[in-house]
Amino acid sequence: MITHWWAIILALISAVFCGLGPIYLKRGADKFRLHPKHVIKNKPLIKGIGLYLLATVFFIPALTGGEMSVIYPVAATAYIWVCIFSMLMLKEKMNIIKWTGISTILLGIVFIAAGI
Amino acid sequence: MKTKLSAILMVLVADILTCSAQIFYKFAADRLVLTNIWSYLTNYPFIIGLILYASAGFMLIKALEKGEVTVLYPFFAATYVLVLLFSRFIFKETITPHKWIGVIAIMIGVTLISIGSKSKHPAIEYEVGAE
Repeated sequence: MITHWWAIILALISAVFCGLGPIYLKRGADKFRLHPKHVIKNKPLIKGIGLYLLATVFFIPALTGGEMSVIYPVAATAYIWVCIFSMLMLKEKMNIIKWTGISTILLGIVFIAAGI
Repeated sequence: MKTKLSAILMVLVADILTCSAQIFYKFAADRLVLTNIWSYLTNYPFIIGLILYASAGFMLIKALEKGEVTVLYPFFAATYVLVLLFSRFIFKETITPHKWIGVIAIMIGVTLISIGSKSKHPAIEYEVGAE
């Protein structure tokens, strides 16, 4: 099976949404209360869940247009996007050890997805 | 904000829940008719999987309340490790050496994130958009 370029782009869009989702979940978590009324009114939480849904909507067609061994590592770039968005939007700090950890996780996902 | 150990443990619980949900989905998939909505509603493994997923989401939100996203999110990758271990020991699937390397890499990566989050070394810490 050949991986189409549009499948890679879809997976990348999905990864960016997946990276943005936790930022809003975090903002929503700070004022989270387990009650249907509060959950519905918790705008960042709803945005976060919505972003995950969007990510899924982009990811499924991506899987049909490409090989798992290519699509999965592209989707796993979400781990990089999460860190970038956290630095920009939540003012969280990254350091060389954490970036090394992220790179090692990505490498691990590539190895698992390669499925040899 | 420092990440509390309890938050990391909660993400690991969320990992176990996610992994269990995926196992139930595997059982569900075996007797699912894709075009028949009724077959989803009467498929108990599918319903249990959904509930497990929802619980994982709840745990994740509670964890994020007490920690940094850059520390907690990478811990979610431990799900890959659990799924592989479950596949090996419950479903008796063969795991290739490549996949074991992947599992070890993820475990090292997650450990590094945890070490890095405690690092107070000023020379290696930097921020974007700091005030």
